[in-house]
Amino acid sequence: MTEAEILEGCRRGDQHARHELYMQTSARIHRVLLRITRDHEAALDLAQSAYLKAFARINQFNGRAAVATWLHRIAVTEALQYLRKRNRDTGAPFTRSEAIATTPDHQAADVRMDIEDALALLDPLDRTMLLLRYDVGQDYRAIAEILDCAEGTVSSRLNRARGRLRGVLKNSYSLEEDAPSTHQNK
Amino acid sequence: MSCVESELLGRFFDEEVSETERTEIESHLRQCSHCVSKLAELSLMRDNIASVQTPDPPSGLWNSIKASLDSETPTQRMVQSQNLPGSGRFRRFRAVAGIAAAVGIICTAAFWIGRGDSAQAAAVDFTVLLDSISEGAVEAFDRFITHHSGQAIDPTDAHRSAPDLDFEVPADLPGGWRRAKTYRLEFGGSRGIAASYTRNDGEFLATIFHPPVKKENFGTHKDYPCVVGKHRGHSVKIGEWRMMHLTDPTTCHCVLSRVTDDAQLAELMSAIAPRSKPSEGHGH
Repeated sequence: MTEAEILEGCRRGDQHARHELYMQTSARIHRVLLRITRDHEAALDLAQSAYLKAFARINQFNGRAAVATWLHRIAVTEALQYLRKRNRDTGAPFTRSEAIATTPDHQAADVRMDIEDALALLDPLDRTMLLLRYDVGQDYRAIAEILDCAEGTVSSRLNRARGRLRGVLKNSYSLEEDAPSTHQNK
Repeated sequence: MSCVESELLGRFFDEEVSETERTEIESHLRQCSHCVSKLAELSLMRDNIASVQTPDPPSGLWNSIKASLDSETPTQRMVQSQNLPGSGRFRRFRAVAGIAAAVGIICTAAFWIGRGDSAQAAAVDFTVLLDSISEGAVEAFDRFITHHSGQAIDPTDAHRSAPDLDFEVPADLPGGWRRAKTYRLEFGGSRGIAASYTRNDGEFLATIFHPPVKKENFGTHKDYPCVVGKHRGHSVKIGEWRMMHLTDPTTCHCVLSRVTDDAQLAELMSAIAPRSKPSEGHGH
């Protein structure tokens, strides 16, 4: 089925078209939700909620962006709202065990903990920015659409997020430190 | 030229600069090892972020979405979707499904109430798959996976997950099939494996491996003996779909597909059961 056929089917409430949309997008949607929330149960709840909202609002989809971008917008909005509420309710920071939840086995977890730990320590919006750009592979325009902001804002926030991630990783990786601000090319 | 400011260098790395900016930065990079190393750092960061493995969503997720869609009127669905806080819905579904399953309304939802319950299914219940296959093979396969407590696994863990079975889940199968997902299944304390495959044209194929138990439930569907290449087995045909079983003393190898060419079927069977010998049939 083409994207147009899937959309048309979804607008008619056709279950086959809905399932096709789900099959084409669910792995990416679930992955980004899991990595933003760092919680298996929450990721499943949010994925279900996002798809139900998408199917209910399919007539509001204007085709300005790809349907996958639109779905990401719904899912990411849900995830950020969830995290805001959770952090407000508990005040609990992300933990190492939550970070482990995104890796399927301990061996892989050992290898990947540095980056997952570091991402876990970032502000949810910074983490979401980095995941949308470097994991999902969205360009600035799509990220702006997903997060409902200007492309220039995406650029500056990504820069901020990269800087913060670099700062967190400093003690884990032997990445080169920033040169003194006076550094000039010869 | 001074070093490239970090935000601009980030936009250059992300290919979000104008042609003029790109030309200037490339010119600068030819003579600035510092900025080159900053780009390498960005590349390392991107690769690390993208390389983290996560599990696939469970096949039951679609079932829960579908059940919610089926159980709500359009008005209810609109109101609920606008009011949902974003969490707890999946858990609420499982609670509701527990009641529904108790009165026999939603059998597959039992998976979400207690995965151990459906794991107690003693027979290999193909009726779950075959009864609804004409409505959609992918959905029917998902139902079968859910019914037998399917858990998505890494393909490299398949043999470790079902050590008593002799099978293969190759990344590619003859005929242009590419592996999509691999699952561990439960059959009343025994383990099974299943894998889904897709072709470029969207065609679906599934393989299922289970212990050679005698209780294969095909419901009202007739199971006929058949010969595939040098192997003997049995098959069930529903419309265009055919489920082939190649049997041997350790493993029942099943292929669900719309393939009709016997030579291609024989190639498929050889790929998923390369060590099975013609004389080893267990004779369902």
